[in-house]
Amino acid sequence: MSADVALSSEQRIGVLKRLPLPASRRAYAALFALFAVSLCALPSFVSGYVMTLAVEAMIAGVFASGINLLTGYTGLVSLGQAMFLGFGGYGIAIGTALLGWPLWISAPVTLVVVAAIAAPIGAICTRTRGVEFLLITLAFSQMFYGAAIKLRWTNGSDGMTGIPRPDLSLLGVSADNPTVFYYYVLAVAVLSLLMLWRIVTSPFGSVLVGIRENERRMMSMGYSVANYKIGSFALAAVICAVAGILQSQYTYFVNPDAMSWQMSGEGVLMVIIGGANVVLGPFVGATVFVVVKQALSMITEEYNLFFGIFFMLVVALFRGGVLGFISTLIGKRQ
Amino acid sequence: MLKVEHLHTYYGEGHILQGVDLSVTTAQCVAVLGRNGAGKTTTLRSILGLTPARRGRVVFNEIDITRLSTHRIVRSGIAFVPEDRGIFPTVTVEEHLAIAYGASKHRPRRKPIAYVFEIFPRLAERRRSLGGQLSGGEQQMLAVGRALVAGPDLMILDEPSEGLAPVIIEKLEAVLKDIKASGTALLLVEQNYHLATQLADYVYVLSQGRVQFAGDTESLIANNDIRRTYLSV
Repeated sequence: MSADVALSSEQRIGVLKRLPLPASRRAYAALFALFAVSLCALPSFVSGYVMTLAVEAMIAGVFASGINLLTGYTGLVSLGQAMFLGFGGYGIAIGTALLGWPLWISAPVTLVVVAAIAAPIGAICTRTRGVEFLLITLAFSQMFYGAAIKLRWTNGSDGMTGIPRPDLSLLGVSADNPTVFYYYVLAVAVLSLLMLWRIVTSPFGSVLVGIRENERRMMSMGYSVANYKIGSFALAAVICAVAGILQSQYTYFVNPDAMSWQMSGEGVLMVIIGGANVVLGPFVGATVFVVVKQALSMITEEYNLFFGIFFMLVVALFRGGVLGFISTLIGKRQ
Repeated sequence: MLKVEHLHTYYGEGHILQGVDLSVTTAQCVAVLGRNGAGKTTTLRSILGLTPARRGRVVFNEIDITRLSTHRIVRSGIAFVPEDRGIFPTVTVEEHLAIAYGASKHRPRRKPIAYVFEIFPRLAERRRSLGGQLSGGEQQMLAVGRALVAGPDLMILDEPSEGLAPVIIEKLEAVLKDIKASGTALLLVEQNYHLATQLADYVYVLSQGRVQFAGDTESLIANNDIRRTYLSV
């Protein structure tokens, strides 16, 4: 018996958490750092057009990360996450324009309200699994989409305009400036990612993975699987709502299209392209998605057709998405 | 400790368990034997609430657990080692034990994870390996270890020896004997007659969803009729 086996249980759990990152995780940490540094430096090198794309990719990346928590980690494929994207946008629109609250109150209130709405929706949806889960999430999002189109209160299908960007005058800059807004989105995206990383590496995250791998086994180990699924549903909704807030600030407006099922579907595509159940996967997926779509739309008007072909190629050639493919390469070299 | 009374369980219209009675007392090993389809696994599933019984009662430590949900039953002090072992392919050995430890309600005082590594040194060597990279024997050790860290009063095992090499089965037998000696009761479903009679103090033989024989291990060994009719040994 080696000496370290004699540690107390508390110490042992502590040791568990402080284990050095395995090689693949170190590679991800390096990749993350590289990503963050190059994104920080980006505005000094590229044109406004590229920066616009980068902002769109980052917002899409936050959205896809929310989907990844539910789909990649807990194993629940949803086709309704765009409703929370819409809730985020409408939340701050209602808070600032209709209720006259400042943004710094509207935004956190929006996130709390989204969590409060998502929990009961999650409680209903997570009673199903597989195709039923996909359809019931789709049904919920279509219901809210329909409501948003009809509601006069929020200008129906015209949507709401005049959504404010954060007031950064304290720092002596204005968020209306594209470069400043770029850094604002970058900061929120990095924070969301770190939070997500913290969640999935926590014991809570291990339970989610356990549910994905074998739900009955988790029940037989004494976990209340239902509560964990609802928890991951609500957390995923909040992350999607963060993306919704950024998106509506980026365009200064929100309309029901934010909640359309196409939006939900694109989010799932990004997760698959980038690599599910890897924290950075959805960001890579979102970047590839935005860039390829832009490039294709410059070449042809039928870009959706070619994007479909591109998607099939990714699924056929890269197992586990682009990031999964890269990490397999790294694994082979070691 | 565990008392099962007149259990009737159905799969749809199929009447699988037709009034099963059995009981396990503290620090005892009880084996349930019988052919395929006799209702052994279904009995375990009914106790654990995975396939709830339609009629009858399951009482554990003086509490009626018949209608409780599975995770509540497990939290009341029963650990389950399923037939397929249920190892997560993408989760490391250490994480498996940490997840199981996290679920245990009354945290056992002895060092649970260290204790598992002590009785299964092989798992300590492979602590960083993923579940999918383990051999069948290692997976079975991990499944037992995972049940142990919860510090259960009763451990239920469904065919732990299935698909294992004879050397590994011997090792498993020694470990299960230790667990029993430390005060944890065992309820064992087995096809392996020899392992079962080595471990068990008391035996039930099931056939067609009914208990055909109940008695201590010696009386089963002595009873040629029951052995030949229901177990072909």
